[in-house]
Amino acid sequence: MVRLGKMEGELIRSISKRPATVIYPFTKDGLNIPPGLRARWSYANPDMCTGCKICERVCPSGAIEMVECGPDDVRTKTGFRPICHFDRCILCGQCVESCPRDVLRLTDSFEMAFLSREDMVLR
Amino acid sequence: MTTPDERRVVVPPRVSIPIGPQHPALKEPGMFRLTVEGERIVDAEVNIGYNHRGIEKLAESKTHLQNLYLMERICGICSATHNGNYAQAVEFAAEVEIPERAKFIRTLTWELERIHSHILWLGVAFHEVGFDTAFMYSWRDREVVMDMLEDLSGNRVNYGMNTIGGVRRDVSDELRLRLLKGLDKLEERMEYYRDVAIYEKTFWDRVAGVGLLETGVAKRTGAVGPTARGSNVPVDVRFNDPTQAYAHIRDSGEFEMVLSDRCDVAGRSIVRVTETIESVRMCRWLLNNMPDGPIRERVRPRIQPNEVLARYEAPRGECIHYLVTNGTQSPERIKIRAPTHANWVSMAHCLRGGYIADAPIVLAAIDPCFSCTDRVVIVDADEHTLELVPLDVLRVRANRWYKENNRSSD
Repeated sequence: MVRLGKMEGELIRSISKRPATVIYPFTKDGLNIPPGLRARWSYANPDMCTGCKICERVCPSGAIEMVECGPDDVRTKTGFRPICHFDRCILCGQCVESCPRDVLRLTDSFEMAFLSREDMVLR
Repeated sequence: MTTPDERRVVVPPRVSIPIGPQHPALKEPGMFRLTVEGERIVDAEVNIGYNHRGIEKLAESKTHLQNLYLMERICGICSATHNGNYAQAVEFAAEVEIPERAKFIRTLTWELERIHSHILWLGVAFHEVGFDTAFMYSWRDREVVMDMLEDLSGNRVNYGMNTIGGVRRDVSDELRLRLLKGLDKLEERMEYYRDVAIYEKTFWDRVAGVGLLETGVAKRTGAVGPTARGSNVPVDVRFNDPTQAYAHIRDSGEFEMVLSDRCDVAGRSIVRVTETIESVRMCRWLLNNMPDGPIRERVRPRIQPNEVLARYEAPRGECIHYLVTNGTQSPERIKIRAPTHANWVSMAHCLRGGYIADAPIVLAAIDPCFSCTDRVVIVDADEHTLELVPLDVLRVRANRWYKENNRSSD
């Protein structure tokens, strides 16, 4: 005798359900982005930055580089500010955690496609 | 030049099928040389050591804090395993005790990771035996735990939850409620998949009696994790040598080590699905009994000279980090023994005596992140041909062979 499998009921019930996947680039509904997502790096609070270089020292992948402040930048105490070579960033968030003055952030902007490597230097 | 007559003399009496070793993107490429007579595997030879990434050497040039993120990238699936185990190794070396709440959150991440890893394995096992419907359904439900981990840590794969001296993120009350809700759904779904694995003939007939690893052999070859527990060897670091909050879990008396005396792939499957349900219950217990308090302890970056061994029961078995510190910020030596390394040894025994069509599921049964082991050379003794086939084709052939050579259910 042919015995029915265990999954037939599940299959039939699934016919009326909506798809489990999201047609992502066209819609962002159902992506479940959590509030604490670690995504794009940002130099969020330059006024507080002292240029202490802790972020550069702790970065496990060498993504953060300290450069001299340009004319448009907020002048820090040491005259240096961090920039992020985002192509090397592993999104661990250690720089954010180690920053003593809450200068850096990992935002929840997760769409991180760039056309060239130069565009990936986040200032 | 040899004549066809002479050539017949050097034809090997048995057909040899090398599987591997070049697998792009697999962290542990392995080489399996199967010697077959007809459809039966008469001998199997297993070789590893093709992928040298130099992680241990690289770790010596980085600080302990940076190494946490390097360790986490040893394995995409066991990222919390290596990250947490390294953190606890450094804490052992520094001889600091981390806060209780940190221990609970660390254990919670580990257990959630075990759930996702076991569901992943179950899907792969379904796929290897050609039961793709269950593969897709189980992976759909795996998204629940992936979302929970993302909610908890901020990342789907490399959680980065641990730091030296505790954990990096706290569990808020709202998050706790969301996690409990997700765990309810997971438990319901996993009970369903347990029934699918046991009562669905499509799966069961392909795994029952396949890849036998007797208890004695499992002990002798040093198998670990679900591979050993599926052969009735009671090895589970969570119960034998508990660290972090596992000591509380064991002392609560509500949880038991999952064992099976079947000794075949079916036994390993039962151990894994049952263990997933146990893990869901453990997570719920951890969330309900989580003590209040700080989540991290400050540890000086320079770790005193010490030599420690940290053990943790990863989803695949016992993971060992051996760490020597020298008083600086960097380790003097770090040696990692991943569980798959211990399980390779028993692999040759599992394969021997089985059908060639069973090779994909037997190889997948130790959960060696096998998805990338996708090149197979078939040397045909009669036609003097050498054929390079991907594992997908081997799987399709295996499934076709079973369609033609039906095994009656016992």
